[in-house]
Amino acid sequence: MDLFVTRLQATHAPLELTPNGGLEINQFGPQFIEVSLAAPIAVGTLVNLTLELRGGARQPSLDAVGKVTSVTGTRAHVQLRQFDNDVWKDILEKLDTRQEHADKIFKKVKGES
Amino acid sequence: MSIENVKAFLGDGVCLLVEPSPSFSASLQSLLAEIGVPLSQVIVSRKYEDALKVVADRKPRLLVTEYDLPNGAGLSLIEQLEQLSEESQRIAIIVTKNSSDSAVAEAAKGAVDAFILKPFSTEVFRAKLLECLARKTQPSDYQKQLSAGRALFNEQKYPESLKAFQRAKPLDPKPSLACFGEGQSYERLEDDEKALAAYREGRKLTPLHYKCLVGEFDLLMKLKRFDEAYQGVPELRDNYPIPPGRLGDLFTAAVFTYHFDDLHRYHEVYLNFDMRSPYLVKMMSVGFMTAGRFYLQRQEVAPALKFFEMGMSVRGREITYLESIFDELMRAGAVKEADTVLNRVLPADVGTKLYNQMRFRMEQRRLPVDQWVERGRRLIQSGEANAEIYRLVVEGLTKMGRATLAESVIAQAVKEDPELRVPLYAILEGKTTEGQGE
Repeated sequence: MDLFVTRLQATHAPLELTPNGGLEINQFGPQFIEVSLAAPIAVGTLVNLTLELRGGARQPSLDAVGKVTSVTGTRAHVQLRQFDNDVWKDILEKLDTRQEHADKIFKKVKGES
Repeated sequence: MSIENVKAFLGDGVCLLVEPSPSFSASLQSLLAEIGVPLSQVIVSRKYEDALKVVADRKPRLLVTEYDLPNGAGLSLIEQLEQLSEESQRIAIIVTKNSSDSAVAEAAKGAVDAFILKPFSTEVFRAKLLECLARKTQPSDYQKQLSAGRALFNEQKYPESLKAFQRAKPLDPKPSLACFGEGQSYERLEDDEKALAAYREGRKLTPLHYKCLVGEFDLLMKLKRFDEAYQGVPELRDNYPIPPGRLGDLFTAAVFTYHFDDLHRYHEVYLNFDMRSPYLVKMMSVGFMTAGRFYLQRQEVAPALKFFEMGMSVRGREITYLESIFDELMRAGAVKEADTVLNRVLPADVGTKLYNQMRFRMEQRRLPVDQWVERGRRLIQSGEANAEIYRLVVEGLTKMGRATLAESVIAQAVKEDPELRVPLYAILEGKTTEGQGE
């Protein structure tokens, strides 16, 4: 299961940052994502983006507006602002479920549960 | 647990981060820094070989690695580290894109402390690292005894490790891991019955305890008590993913105990693996051959073919394997099915010695005797005949009443293999005495 950004555009500039196939998300939190970009982007830039969770039976997709809150090298930390909460929750739950499934097997095989 | 605890655990040691993707590597570095790992103490490797050197030279306190690395495996780095530093002195975390159940199970068997899937949640990473840290720095009395037992076991001090595990048992309400350690120690002390009893005690406390189930299974297999070993297999198979290293054992046990009906399950598991060792391929293809042969002996061609098919899917259409199947089918009189196998020979193998031998045996069943004998003689002249072809040609010539020619073929055969003299003359003489000769 992979979480991708399939569209990432600056809202007020002709800046299209999504390569073919999308950008892979490295890290995420309750209201942010972190992506590596090929082109530079400034802190404070507002972006329109689409996220897609691939690899499951359903592939939920989320449109959102985000703000670049920090940039380190090519990595941008994007705070999600306007988005459908239910869809984002669905994506997070799916990722959590996958980690929980791995945790369950891991603990059982370790003999810890 | 806090940032200070992380720093304290690390001391002046290093954290090794092994991550082939530059972007994931950068993400992990910033996360480690947030958690309290000074970046000046983080060594980043993208390649297995470089990481292996760091493990050997620096014995990292914290190792964060991908499961799948170019030219190597994260698990093998962790195994190396396990040999070099004490359990309480290291934390090993896998952060990976490989979310297969078998990868998780394989990792859990070893010295991995946490298994995190990519993309990772910042919170999950932080929580798991701190959880590992708490386990290492504030272990319960039970965990302390287990660690002591494992350390003694790794130092091959088995009487001492046995005592440590026995001391651990009263410290936990369900000390199945201690029972497992006890069983392992007894095995090394060559007291297999006590080892079995320890594994069984562990399973009694925790009925599906993986390590005790596996310990018992492996020991029974070692003792060649295959039927008993296989009794535990459904519990293992139905409750846990089967990692590549375990599949071969389950498969072998199924073949040895004639549980051929289970083989298709293992075949499905096999097909889902990304990597298959040559040993596993060999073991499974031989097992499918055995199952196919078993059904042919019972004159049940359809199930035999099913197993041969599975064998071919495992082994590929390697001509020596196809020839073995062909041979079994011909001997069972399943000529049509054997012909199908012959037609599956890869184009690159058509015209090879082995292919020509198989084709001749098919022609021998289908053409008039004079024609197939002629083709057999051509194979003999071109040096492509084997004992079976000599036998068939001598038989054919005898049937045709051409004893002199048969004798010259026997002479040729004996030049190649003197042991063929007796059986080939027996064919010739058998026919002659029955008055069917020249």
